[in-house]
Amino acid sequence: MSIRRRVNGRASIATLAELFDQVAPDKIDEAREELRALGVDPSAAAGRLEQLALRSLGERILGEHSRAARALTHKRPDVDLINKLN
Amino acid sequence: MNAVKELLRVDWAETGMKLAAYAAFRSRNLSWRTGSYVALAKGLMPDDIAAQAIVSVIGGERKWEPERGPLLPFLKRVVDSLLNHLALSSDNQRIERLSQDDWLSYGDERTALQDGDKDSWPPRPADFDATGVPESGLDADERIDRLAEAAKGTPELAEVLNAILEFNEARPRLIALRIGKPVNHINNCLKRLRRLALKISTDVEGPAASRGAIHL
Repeated sequence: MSIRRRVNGRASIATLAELFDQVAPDKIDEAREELRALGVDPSAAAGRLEQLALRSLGERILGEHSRAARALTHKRPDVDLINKLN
Repeated sequence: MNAVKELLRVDWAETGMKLAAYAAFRSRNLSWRTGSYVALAKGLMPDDIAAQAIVSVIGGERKWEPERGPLLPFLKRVVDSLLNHLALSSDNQRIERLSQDDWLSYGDERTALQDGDKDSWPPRPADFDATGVPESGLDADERIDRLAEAAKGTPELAEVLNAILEFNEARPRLIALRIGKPVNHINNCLKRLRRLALKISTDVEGPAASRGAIHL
């Protein structure tokens, strides 16, 4: 199929840019393609982000456990060793 | 603890990759002092922005409530917010004083800063206009011609591109009406056309220097 000539190249570029902005990559293959186009290794990026997420999750869980434990000891002064020592 | 349980179920490799790609996609719509869409500002790359979004959501700094919607769209909004802040950061707006000799010896980045004397630099994200971006290797007509050439072998892509160029229509719904195809079909073709355009940019300028599909 032949492509018809348009009137103004820059106007067409602007229209295409507007259209492309509406189709963000949402599937995994598209994501991979997007990162490759940027010169980023998709698998390496995915691995790095996964490790980061798991480490952050571990820190959050530990934080919530220790907060919960502290709250518990504050409710029970008889087992609050810090209070006893003080 | 409900959010943590949900966060533990997430496939973070897949979510991370999608989010990094989204950050890359969005960063192409903003102006960066570096003149690159790989190195943004403050030495950050799009996947660093994805990492910041993930850490801030998991850490609870940005509070995600599972009952109010799925995680990925929420993370994407966080990426949008981080990118906008970065684009408006003083680091991205820093202008160095250069002598005349410096102007002559430096590359695109300096030229962009010089252009900034006339208008605000960088343009605010909301003001972004693809037609206002300095041209790189190819001019507008040449870029369109290359895209048309690349799409020629695939009738459905050529048909959609034809409709866009002929009617100068930026709404997929109206393009769908014009050519009598479903909107989903138009969106799929747009994604494929964008990838083609991205490839053309990359082939011409190289991945690191690519100005992206948005500039064709």
